[in-house]
Amino acid sequence: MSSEGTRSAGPDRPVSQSRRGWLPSPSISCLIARVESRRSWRKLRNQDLWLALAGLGILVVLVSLPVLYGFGSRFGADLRAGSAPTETVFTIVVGAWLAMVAFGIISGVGSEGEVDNQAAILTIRPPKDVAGGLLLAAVLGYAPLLCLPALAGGAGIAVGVGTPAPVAGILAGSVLLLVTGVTVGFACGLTLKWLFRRSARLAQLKPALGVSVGVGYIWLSVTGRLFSVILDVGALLRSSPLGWLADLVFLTTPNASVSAPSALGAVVLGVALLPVGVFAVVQAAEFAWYAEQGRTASDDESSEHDSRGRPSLGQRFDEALGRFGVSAGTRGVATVVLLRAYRAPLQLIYVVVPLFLLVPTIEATVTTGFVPDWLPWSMLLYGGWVAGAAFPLNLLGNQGATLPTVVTASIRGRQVVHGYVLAAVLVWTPLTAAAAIGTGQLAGRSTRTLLSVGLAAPVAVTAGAILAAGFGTAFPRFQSIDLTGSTKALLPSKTAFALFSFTASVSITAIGVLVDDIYGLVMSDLLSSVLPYGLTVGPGQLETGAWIVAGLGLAAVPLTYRFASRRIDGYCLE
Amino acid sequence: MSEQTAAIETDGLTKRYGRDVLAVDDLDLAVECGEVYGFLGPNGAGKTTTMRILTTLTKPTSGTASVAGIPVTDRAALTERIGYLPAEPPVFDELTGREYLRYVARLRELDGEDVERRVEAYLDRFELADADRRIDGYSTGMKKKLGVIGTILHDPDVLFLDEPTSGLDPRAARTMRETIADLADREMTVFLSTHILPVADELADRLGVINEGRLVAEGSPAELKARAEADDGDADLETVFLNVTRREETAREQTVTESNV
Repeated sequence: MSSEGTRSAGPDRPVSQSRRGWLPSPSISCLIARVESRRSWRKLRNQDLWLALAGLGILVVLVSLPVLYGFGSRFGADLRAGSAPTETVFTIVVGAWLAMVAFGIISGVGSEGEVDNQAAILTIRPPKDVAGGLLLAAVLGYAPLLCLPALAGGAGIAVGVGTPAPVAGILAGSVLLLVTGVTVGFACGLTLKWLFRRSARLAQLKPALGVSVGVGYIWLSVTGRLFSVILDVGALLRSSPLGWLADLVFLTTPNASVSAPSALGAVVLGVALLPVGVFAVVQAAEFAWYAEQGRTASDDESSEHDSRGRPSLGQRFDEALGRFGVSAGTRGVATVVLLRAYRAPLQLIYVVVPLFLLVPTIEATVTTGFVPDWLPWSMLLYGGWVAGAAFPLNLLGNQGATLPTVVTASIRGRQVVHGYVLAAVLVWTPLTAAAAIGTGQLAGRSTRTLLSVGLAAPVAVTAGAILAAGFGTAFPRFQSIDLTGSTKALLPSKTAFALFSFTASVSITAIGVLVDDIYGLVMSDLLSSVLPYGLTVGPGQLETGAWIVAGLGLAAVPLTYRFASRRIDGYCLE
Repeated sequence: MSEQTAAIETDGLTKRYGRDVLAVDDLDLAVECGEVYGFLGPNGAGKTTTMRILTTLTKPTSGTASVAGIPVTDRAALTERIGYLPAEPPVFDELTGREYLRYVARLRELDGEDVERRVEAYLDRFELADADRRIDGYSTGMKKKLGVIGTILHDPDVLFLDEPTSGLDPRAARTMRETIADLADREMTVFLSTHILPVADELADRLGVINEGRLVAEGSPAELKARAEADDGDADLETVFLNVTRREETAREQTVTESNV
């Protein structure tokens, strides 16, 4: 093809000014933020779980508005009377800034700090514009969380002091607080993302770190300590320049005893440091997005042999099962189930949710030293539930693109079920038995009870896994949901989840009632307290009911096993 | 800048990942303006890494490279002059086809009726009548077509296409080949990475075969086929490809054997 033409190949064409410089182009950043916000909303609309969580979040904010209004009006009235707890409220302002930093970190390190279609977008716009757009989208996303409560509180204070003046300062201060907090957090989050990319070791720890932070946060929230921690940290920072933000927020509030120079200092410092923060975001984004992935020996796990020439983890496990006479098909399924769980633990994050129900109990146990009698049975209940929920509850859906291979393979359906159940039993039996016996010991239960829960552990786990296989194959789910920008999880279907959870819970509880008298009394009291119209359940009635439920539950095990095996054998892709 | 400046030029381009992986090894390339350059190679040969360096997505370990006369280190200037279509169509499932194209146009700072007309013309040409439907309902072929339109909307000087025809039905593949030929007629330089040898044979003015990061053969399809015919009696691109990549492997095995001895 001829090279003669009018198209210039040299760098003589002037480069668009918006592409040069250190800071993002405002118009392009706004465009990216707008499109990212629209995409997030449309994505959210299609995902029931996230939509429900978002709805819950909005509900919490809405419910908090009248509370904050009331708090504000009382604070305003106290201000007018000259007896307001100003330092506490000022400290809350610093705490709110820290919360914005935390939100920024979560966004930066998570999917909001990630560019979808990175290769294409980064060859269309310089990274500074993309980073600016994502930062702006994050700021806009968190704005309602901060500004609406601030407005409600501000309106209350205005009513309390009898003038609308406080609203102006509170709104201006909140905007500065929001923008600076999220920017600082976003830069930190992107830096963390870069570190996770560069270091494979850190990347391996990422899920554990994420879960630890999440559990820590929920623990603090549930135990009511979050607010006091924020106040403590806020009080520490109150005397630093960050405390000036509080002076700015209450600058226009009468009788608030704020320092006008400090408030001015907050504005000057905020405006001056904001470009530095944005520049830090851009730099961190460049590092994170162009980082070369760190590699470790674990990257070679997929090969047949590890770095020391030994067979791979999967192969060793497979051989170990073979020595116990497990068939090749069952071995293969069990090995793959466990390898997938080991390499992508975040996929199973949903199984920790029920543990949060135990948080108040654990909190009470730690503070009083008293372990409830029923705790070993709760451990058993959770063990049986998690054995089913973690692996076999979406047995067909979890096959993903390999489903046609599985259903057309020579392996029989029952071997697939065996493989899943085996994987569940191997992981959860020792953990469940240890947790049940351990808590039983701490609760001072008799040796007979300890023996009962120890023996019941493998039964509960095996039965739970088989029941889950049955319900899971009856109601499979094939659509995954986004956990993060790059991580998807295939949750079991809601129907399978509900049916399995109900069946497993009542069956295991019924067995507990039959085996353990004390547990029977606890359940009798519990049922009597929740039943309407003053109905009560006596020990005799409970035992009869427990026999029926336990019988039905145990009878369901072979039935669901048979159903799951046949369903896999005859499964047709639709 | 003179017209003689090569559209793509690399000199001793090398990319190393860690200490062990040498993805691109001392690569020297010169692609002329308006040329369609077919970049062939087996899986893992270094094609994508080379393309990522040329599109500023990856930094080379050593050596230099320039595209449209602009060094790959000047990302802001270079990305304004290129279009890059990765193998996976770079579209957002949550947007409609038209929204996506408008978004790309705005990112390229293109505005006005001319752009709208251009979008409509391309949609028409690629038979994407469903442009107002959300992309998550598109087939792979439709997504690919949309990706191509987004890539050429700003009329780039140099176009990088990674497997542009894979996943397309015969009619869409034909449209894609015609589009590439049309772009080449408009003096756009096209750097085409593909596994589909007939596509390279049909479209490329010149071919480069890369194996283990090194350029092992280069020339027009006719030259390469003539060389293969002289060596093996077969005059097709597949023979050329298999010959040059096998020869390299044999040479390497010999070197290893000799060093062991």
